[in-house]
Amino acid sequence: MIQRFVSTAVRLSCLASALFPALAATLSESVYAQDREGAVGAKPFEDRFRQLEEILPTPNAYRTASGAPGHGYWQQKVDYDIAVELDDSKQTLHGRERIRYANRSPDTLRYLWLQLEGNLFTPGSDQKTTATFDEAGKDMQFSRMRQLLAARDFDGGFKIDHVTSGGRDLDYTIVKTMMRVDLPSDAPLGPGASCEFDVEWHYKINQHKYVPGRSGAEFFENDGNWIYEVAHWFPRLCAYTDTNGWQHKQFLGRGEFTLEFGDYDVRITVPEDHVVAATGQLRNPDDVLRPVWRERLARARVSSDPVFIVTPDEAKANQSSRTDRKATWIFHADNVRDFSWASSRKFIWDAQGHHSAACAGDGIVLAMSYWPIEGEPLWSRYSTRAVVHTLESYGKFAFDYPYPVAISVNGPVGGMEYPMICFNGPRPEADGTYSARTKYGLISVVIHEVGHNWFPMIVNSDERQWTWMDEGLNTFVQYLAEKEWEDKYPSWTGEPRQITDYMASALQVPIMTNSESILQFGPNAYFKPATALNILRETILGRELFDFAFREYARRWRFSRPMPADFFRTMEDASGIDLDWFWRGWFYSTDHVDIALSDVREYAIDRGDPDARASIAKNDRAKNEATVSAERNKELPKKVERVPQLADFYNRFDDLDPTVKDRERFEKFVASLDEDERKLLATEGHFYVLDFDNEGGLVMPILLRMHHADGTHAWLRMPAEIWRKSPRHVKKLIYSEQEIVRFVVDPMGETADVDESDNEWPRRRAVSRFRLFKDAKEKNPMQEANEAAKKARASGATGADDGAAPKDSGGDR
Amino acid sequence: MIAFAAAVFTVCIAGAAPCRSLGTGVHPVHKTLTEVEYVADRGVLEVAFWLWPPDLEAELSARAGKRVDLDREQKAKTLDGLLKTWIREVFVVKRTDGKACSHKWVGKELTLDGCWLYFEVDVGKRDSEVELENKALLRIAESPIHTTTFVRGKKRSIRNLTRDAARWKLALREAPDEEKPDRKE
Repeated sequence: MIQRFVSTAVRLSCLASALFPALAATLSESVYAQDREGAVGAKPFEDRFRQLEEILPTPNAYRTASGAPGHGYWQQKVDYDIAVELDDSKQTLHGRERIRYANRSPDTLRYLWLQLEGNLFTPGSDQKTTATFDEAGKDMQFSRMRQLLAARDFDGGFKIDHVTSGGRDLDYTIVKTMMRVDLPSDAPLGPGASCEFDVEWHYKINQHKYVPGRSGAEFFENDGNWIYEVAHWFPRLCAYTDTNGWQHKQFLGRGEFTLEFGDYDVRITVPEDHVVAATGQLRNPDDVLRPVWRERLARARVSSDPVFIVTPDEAKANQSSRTDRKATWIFHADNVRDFSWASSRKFIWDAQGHHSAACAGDGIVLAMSYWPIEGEPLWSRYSTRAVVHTLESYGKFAFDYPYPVAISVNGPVGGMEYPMICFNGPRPEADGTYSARTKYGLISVVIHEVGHNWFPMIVNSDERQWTWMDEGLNTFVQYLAEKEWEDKYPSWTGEPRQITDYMASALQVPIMTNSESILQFGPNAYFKPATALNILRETILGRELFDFAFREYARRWRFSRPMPADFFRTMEDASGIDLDWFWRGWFYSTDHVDIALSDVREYAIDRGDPDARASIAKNDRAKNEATVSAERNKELPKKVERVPQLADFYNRFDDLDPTVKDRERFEKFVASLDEDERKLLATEGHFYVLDFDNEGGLVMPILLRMHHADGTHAWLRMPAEIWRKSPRHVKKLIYSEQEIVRFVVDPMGETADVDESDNEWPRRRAVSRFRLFKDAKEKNPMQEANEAAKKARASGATGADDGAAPKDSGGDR
Repeated sequence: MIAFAAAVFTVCIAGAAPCRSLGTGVHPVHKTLTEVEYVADRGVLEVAFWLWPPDLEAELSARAGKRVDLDREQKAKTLDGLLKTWIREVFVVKRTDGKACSHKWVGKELTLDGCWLYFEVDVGKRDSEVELENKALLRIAESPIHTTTFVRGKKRSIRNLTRDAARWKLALREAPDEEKPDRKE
């Protein structure tokens, strides 16, 4: 409708306004001068909406163009039978395993690659030799010095004793943190075939305080006990995939794990007085649990509150015992990609049942926690309840939890995830008190690490390659879960305004960067993707569309291995929205969001009425400031005033006045319009042309709140596609029946705009945080005077009545 | 004291404070955010300075040679003294003659989301520029990032200060051909 105005009979004239500084342009000129950078200029046109097909891998039988597993999708299966013994006196492990490898790929394999992540701790490992030194001034922490020396002396890493198959030795080659096992030359593993082989090994567990890692042991000097958190402790198969072949990129300590699903039978032999927590279900409770513990465990399955299995008093008694006897705990786990465990005689243990439709058997998941007395009372209050909360919340946003147990263990590791079990570090003070930070730190880390059961333990992404696919997605759902814990939960990521300082910074790489090459690891792989997904949910797609698409992604890739393109494609496929621009900007670039409302002009309809035009023109003329000369010349005596007969028609004529012909032309024009056009011509209201600059480069929706003179407001939410033909600058014509007195871009902080000082029109002077604090703290003059008077009286001075505190000040009575 | 080639390290106990907080768990993010505004008529920089509580505790612990707990120090009313001394050491502003400008403590806010420290730096009205150096977190982190916003009148610029580029010359007066500040420096 507006276009018709412009192209036929009606023009809009820019109004001079105190609020909106006038420009001389008319609307018809400015609307068609839409793109001042994009259309013409030295730089090539930046197409922020160019489709991603040229970047994403070509769809095939394994992975479809819609982002789902294809009809030919395959993944390997690896089952393990493991027996391991812990030597509590030497902190060593000795293990034997039988591996059954099922080749479901269409390829013939002549060798298999296994991961030996523990070799990270060997002297001369790539992690150590490639670590760089940033000169730390003149201070070096004791902890750092201690670790430096300990790492040099610690003889960590796998000691492989045998690799055999059917009693025959197999050739193997250790390549740093990887091991290649050569299959017999006469027995390559064809498509659909399986093989079995055995590995025997031993290694020393790292003492975490000196040699930190994702697992390790903690020694308690006051009672002489250890807590062991044991992970990547057995040689396990690398993933062989349709996208990368063998994923055997060396483990440098940051890019985590890429693994195959399989079934595990694990026998863990420990001192008899130890309590063991592990991935999977305990198969021999009658052998290793006291009757009272078994009875409590049965009660916990149906309890809506955590129930102590091992009470604090029992744990205290237990930690002072010593025995030479051993016990073997037997665990079984189906369809997991890893196996981890923890053991100590210090453990308190509690449990609570949680119903999950996806859990086999009676549909009860046991949420459990294990911690030493040093974790009390914080852990009994929050750990297992946070586990249950995670199962509920993630079940809603992704899928129901399918495993029989979900475990949180306190020990030396600050926060690390494995299937069904995770290690979490926060503890209270020695006196049992704790700060709010510690409390929420524990709840958050439990939610985060238990949440990893979904990403990547079940939605099995390639962690070694793409950290964001598990950490970013998990941090996002963690944020959603935290918001369901309590009002004003102090989440440290998720809100767009929390990421702006990182987004504006220079030390960045795109989210789509290999794990080992990421700069600013936390913001890049955790906070930015989590924030991007929150923005996608709240602002781009809306909760309903996003939640459907996100659940669909989780459903499609449950117990399968997605790649980034599968996520991007599924989110578009299921939401029905083209998001290529969003992935391009947020995941493939380091641009940031900075949209400026750079100019606003108000226009009125020019109906062509010559009298109305004359009135506007005269108003404008009256507003023009006279020049200095003109002002001074006003006082000069004028000839025409002294000799009136010199004045004629032209002295009375105002060239802004319409002529008779002008009026006739207008009447003729009105008469030529049909009724509909005459109604349009009579439209009352306000027209505004707004200029928006995209200063950050990242295209995002323009979310505009328009405040009316009567105090009400209206919204105009312009999708990101407004930038498609002009990514750096756009103009927008807005019609409003009411006068608009203020425009604000993104007032609710939805887009992570790094500079909100240019988001308002008219501009507002931004008040600094310093000033807000100081103003709130400063006393007013009356308070100051009263204080001075009080001081004077207290010191016995007599000057209190002569000005320091006026009697009528109203204070100090 | 441990000799290391020609350099000398002082061993401190920053590691004594356990990592136990929001946002700084497994993959810690060591950063500060600083808003600096030049108030020309008073010749001062008004500074609002933010950092994570665990980072502040670790820094204060490293400096004090004993574990510093913000909650306890706050109760004991010794915290302001520690903060004033620390911020003077790490947030240094020098005049063109190389002399350090004095600080005036204004206050602090401690929340779960972070610590805000407020202070003024007396830069005077004589110099056309001063040099800011942020040495916070260098005791406890290899690569801290200090995102600093400088506001002078209507001009506003943002810069990331790092270990290798810890200094920034702040122009207190507009140069005749002053460039528009670059947001991504």
